[in-house]
Amino acid sequence: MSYQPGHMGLAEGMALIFAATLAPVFLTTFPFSVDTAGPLAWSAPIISYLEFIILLYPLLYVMRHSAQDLYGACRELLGEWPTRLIAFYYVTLYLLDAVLLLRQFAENTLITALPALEFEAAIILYGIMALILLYIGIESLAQTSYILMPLLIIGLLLILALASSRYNFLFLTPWNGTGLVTVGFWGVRAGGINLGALLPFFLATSFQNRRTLKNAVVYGLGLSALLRTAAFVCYTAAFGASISREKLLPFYELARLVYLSRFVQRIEAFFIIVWSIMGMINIAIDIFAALYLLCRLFNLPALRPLMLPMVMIVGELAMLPPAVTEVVVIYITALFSYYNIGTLVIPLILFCAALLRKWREAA
Amino acid sequence: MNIITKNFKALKELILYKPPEIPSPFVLGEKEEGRPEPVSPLDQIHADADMHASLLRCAERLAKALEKARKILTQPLRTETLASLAKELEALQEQQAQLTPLLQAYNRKQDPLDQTVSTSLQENRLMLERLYNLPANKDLVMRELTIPGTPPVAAILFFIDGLIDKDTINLAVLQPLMLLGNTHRQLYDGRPTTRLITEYLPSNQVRTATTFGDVLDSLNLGDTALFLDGVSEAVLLETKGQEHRSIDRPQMEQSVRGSQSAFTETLRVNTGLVRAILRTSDLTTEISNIGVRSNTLCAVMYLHSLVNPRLVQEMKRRLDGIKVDHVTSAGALLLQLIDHPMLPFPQALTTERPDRVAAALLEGRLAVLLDGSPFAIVAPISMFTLFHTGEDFSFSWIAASFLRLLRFIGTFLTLTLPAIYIAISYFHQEAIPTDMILAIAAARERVPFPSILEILMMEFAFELLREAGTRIPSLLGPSIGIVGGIILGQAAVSAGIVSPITVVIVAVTGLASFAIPDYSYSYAIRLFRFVLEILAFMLGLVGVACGLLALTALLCSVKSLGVPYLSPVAPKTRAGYDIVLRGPIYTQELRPDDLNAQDRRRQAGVSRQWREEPPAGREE
Repeated sequence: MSYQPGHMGLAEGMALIFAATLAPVFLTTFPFSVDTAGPLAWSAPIISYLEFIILLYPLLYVMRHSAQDLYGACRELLGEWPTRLIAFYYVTLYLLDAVLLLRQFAENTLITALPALEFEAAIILYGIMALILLYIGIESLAQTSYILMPLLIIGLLLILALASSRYNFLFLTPWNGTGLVTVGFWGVRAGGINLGALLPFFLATSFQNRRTLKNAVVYGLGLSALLRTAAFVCYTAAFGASISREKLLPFYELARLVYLSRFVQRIEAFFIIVWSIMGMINIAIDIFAALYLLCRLFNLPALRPLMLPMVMIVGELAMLPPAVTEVVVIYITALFSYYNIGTLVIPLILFCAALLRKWREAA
Repeated sequence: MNIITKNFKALKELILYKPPEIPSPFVLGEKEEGRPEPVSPLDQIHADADMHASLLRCAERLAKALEKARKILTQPLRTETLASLAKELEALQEQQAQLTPLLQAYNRKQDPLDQTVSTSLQENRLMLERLYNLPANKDLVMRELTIPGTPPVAAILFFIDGLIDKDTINLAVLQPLMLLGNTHRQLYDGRPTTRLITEYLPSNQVRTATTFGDVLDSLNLGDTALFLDGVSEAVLLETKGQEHRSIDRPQMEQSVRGSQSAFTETLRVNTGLVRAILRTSDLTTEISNIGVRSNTLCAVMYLHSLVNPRLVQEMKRRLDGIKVDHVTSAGALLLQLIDHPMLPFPQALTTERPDRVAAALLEGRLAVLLDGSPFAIVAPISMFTLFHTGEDFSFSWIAASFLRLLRFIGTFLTLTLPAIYIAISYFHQEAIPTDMILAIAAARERVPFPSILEILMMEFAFELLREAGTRIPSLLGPSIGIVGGIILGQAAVSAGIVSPITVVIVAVTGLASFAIPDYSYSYAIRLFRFVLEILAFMLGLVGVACGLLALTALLCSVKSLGVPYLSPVAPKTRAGYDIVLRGPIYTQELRPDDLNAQDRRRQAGVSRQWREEPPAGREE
């Protein structure tokens, strides 16, 4: 397999997961969560993180059944055709994620940075960047994410710190909320956001061992969940639950609040660099995941020839919805439903199959 | 009558104009692709003539030998004369064997460099004359001599003028051979070349050669070749004495507290400079030839017990795999060696400082030195190596870390400052404080050009000044810089061509670019800056983000001799305190992890062991 990625370690795994799961900070996901779960919606990333950590151990148990990756383990446990169906489902999920993110980030670019730019040009720009990132390979892509990760974290934290004068932490109290059960259930449903954390399991042969995989998930997803939580806490504290649900871009709105003096104001433009880079990396990771699984699915010898057609298809699909509101609705619907099948249901099925096999072997 | 004739002739020349008879201009003919070059019948005739001439010369020599034999046999017989006659006849027999038509035909097909040295002095002379294109070529000097002895031995010395030391030839070659011997020595008693080498020639390096290829290699290096009559070997004597520049101060990598010596153009002087710093038997210098026509000497230096052997193998494989006529410089060699020649970023360190080479060798890296180039190539490297200077370890770690931070900030400013200015002034004006934007607007009021054009014009002028400064004589260089930088900038602002803010930005950018220690890296950053400026002009800060992301991704995929360019950051490896910042010198215990050196530790866990001992005078 010429598309088999190179050697990756904990840093690369962490960076991949971090980059593939942080995007909701910059999108409309959180206002939607506030609308459903009230002022405690900021706890959803933590709940979903804990949920994935609980799921991590069954996943690692499943991985014991194959010397290869999650695809190999699935084939070992469920057979050829169910594995193909499952792989196809994941391909669809990653492609859907890429398409929806591409459209949203392109629209956000138009809204916040380049109002005069043609919509198609924004899509093409993100497509070209995704293609460049795909072309250099997942190993270099992961390393790029790792290098930029500290800068992105610093940028994010800087915004949160600079806007601190606007926070009212009473907004975070759940007195006017929807109830802890609703919040908890919403947090579990938000587990679909962690779809990107499954990627290292599909590329398991490139990582040193299962311990590396485990640590990558724990730290990468943990860091991402922590930042998402911090961002949502600050956002809720700044705007309050009732206004929070009306905003389209929470991070951008938070950055617009920054006013320290006549010289430190309206600095949201500088942070366009942060979220546009995150968007480009996330889209590239999604397309790579879809392409990789597609190659495994059809036993294709190479991945590179598919890159350009796939990016073009993703770009065309992203242009199909007539308005961005439809894209946001589709994204949130998918995130809180279909993504969960990939993140929760299928790993649990595989775990049950592994237990069943062990029980049969013991019998 | 005379006047009439003259006028008539003038009128005739005027009316009946004839162009002057000048030879047709020279036009270099094109070689037609696919059509074989016609073989001249003269070539075959010349080859046959050569063969017959050789046979004739052999016959003449045989006739002379027979005549000599007749004379000797008619006189009272003496053992010495009979022995010398026997040797001469043996040599003739050997030469005759070499001149059989079959062998000659075989030799003609062979590469002349693979042909063996003949027993005939004349044949050897003719062969060298042919190889060196004599008499047109005046570089090869031929000196015929007779070595006194019983019998006297005819010999020829060959050397290349300009590459040898004449005193060495006079005192260590000609004098012992012609003057210091006695007439009773019998060179032909035993193996003549061995006797010459062991008993008569005081040169420090002497060896024998049997093929013309070996002879030519030595002659081209400045050695002297000695051919003896009747001996099918050449004696090669070390007489190198090429004029070369003496060791000077570094021109490009000057330092305040570091070493003040730099490499020269002579390979052996350069290897000696490195060895003078690392006086250890572990330091290995492997020498090979590069360039099919130039045969330039190239040395690979490494510490045998330290370097990863696979790095040495790979470097030698790459050097052996370079098939070019000539490698002009270390820079040209570097382009033949690296993995990504399309990228402007330097993938190996090019340095003129022996102390930097020694430090790199001690880290487990390789150094490649080329004869004729005053720069050494150090590989593999990471990008962070390019921010280090030779004297970083001469300062306190705090000062050195500050300087390194300054270099990183300088690089970042060089790369992004104009692009960010363009992006903000075109797309994100709200990010500029109101007072400042009013000041900028007021300054730009008189300027007819858009910001991008202003920036590009000024940067072009700056690059022009920089290029001119390096090309013009050193005395005028600073003057041109001052005239260009100050007067031109001031004049441009006064004329309303550019705004003062543009001058400030371009000046800061230019100044920051000088903080980058590596010249090639500085070039690459400056080139990429233009890409960022165009992206910023088209897409604002999103364009800058795209450019920076693409650059990072590109650098992540680059490797220098198999070692990732951004290590130890990406991929993350165990790093000492010598990447961006520099820790105290006594904490630098390990060598760089990414080189996988045979010995990871470079100093003891506690390098300052005197701190654990009682001070002088308090040993009790």
